[in-house]
Amino acid sequence: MKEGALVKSVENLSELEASLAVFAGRVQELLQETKMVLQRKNKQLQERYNYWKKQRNYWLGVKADSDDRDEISWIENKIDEAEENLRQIAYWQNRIKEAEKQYRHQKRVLGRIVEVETPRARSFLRESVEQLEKYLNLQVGLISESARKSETSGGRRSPQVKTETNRGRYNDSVLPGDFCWVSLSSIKMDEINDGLAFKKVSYEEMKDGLQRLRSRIIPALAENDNRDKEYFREQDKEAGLSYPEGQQRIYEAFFGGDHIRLEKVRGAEKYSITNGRHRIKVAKDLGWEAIPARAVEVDL
Amino acid sequence: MSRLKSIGEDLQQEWVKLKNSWRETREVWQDSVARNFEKKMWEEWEREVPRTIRCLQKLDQIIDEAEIKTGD
Repeated sequence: MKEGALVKSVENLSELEASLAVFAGRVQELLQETKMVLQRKNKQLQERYNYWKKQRNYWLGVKADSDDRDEISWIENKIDEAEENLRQIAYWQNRIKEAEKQYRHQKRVLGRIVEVETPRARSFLRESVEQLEKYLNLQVGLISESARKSETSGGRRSPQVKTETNRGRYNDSVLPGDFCWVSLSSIKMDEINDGLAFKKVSYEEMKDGLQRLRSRIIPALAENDNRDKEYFREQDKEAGLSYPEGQQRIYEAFFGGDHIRLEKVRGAEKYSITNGRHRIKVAKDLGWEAIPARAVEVDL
Repeated sequence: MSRLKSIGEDLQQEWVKLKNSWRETREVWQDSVARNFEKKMWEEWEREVPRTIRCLQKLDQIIDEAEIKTGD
């Protein structure tokens, strides 16, 4: 599975999970409403039945008190009319009862689907999304940039960089310019102190930034790798987000002037961190295997 | 339009939305897990939701007819 497809899968699975929740909620509302409509309709029909029953009983009483043959004949017509209506109503009540029986069976089936199966399906989808995200995390750095990342300004990028940052499974990197995913295992992690202080940006805030890089920025770039900070600025504007809250800040943190910079002497095993210790530390804590950076090799 | 008919149409509309969401997901989700999900869950919905809609439509028709035949 290519990374692009993987990202899209995650998004689609999340959307399907949300759609299922909406569907289940709406179905429950509609089933409840149907129940009320059926109760009302049955009540109306029963009231009509009761009306004609009363009519019949009334005319039966009148007939019993009458000894006028013409009047009795007219009353009997009234009784016949009432009885015909009673028969009609009883017939339709039975028809409705039969149809309701079938509907109730389906209602139970659908009720089970939305009350039992749908939560199970949603739970399954959530787990799948988590697994895919985890997988994406694991693979996030394993991208080759052979076409676009051949040289960097200043130092010269060596093809060796690509070898170290790519295991050949994905080749659809969307990072801007000459950025590439660098495997954390090829970075000198011992340059990061255990007690690294997070003064300018808190640890939690940075963690959130990395997560949003993965969930928002990279997928957006995957859709269109021409997107730049202006695009994210517009997105923030539309969403009513200030710079500290928005995506532009995250984009700039990784692909702007303060990006992660790595450097090593040609032929050396690992990169030294020129800039971005905090982000690399958080990436490691999050279980990432790689991080977007500018990595250069220099000659002695 | 009777309320039951309108409920049936609402249900149909919601079902179409869900089916579209599933179709879009299925296009990018084509592994064995997806097939399993389709077989164990989706296929039952695909069978039972339209059945429920048909039951509602039938019920609506009968109630409608009953009202005409037994009305004043």
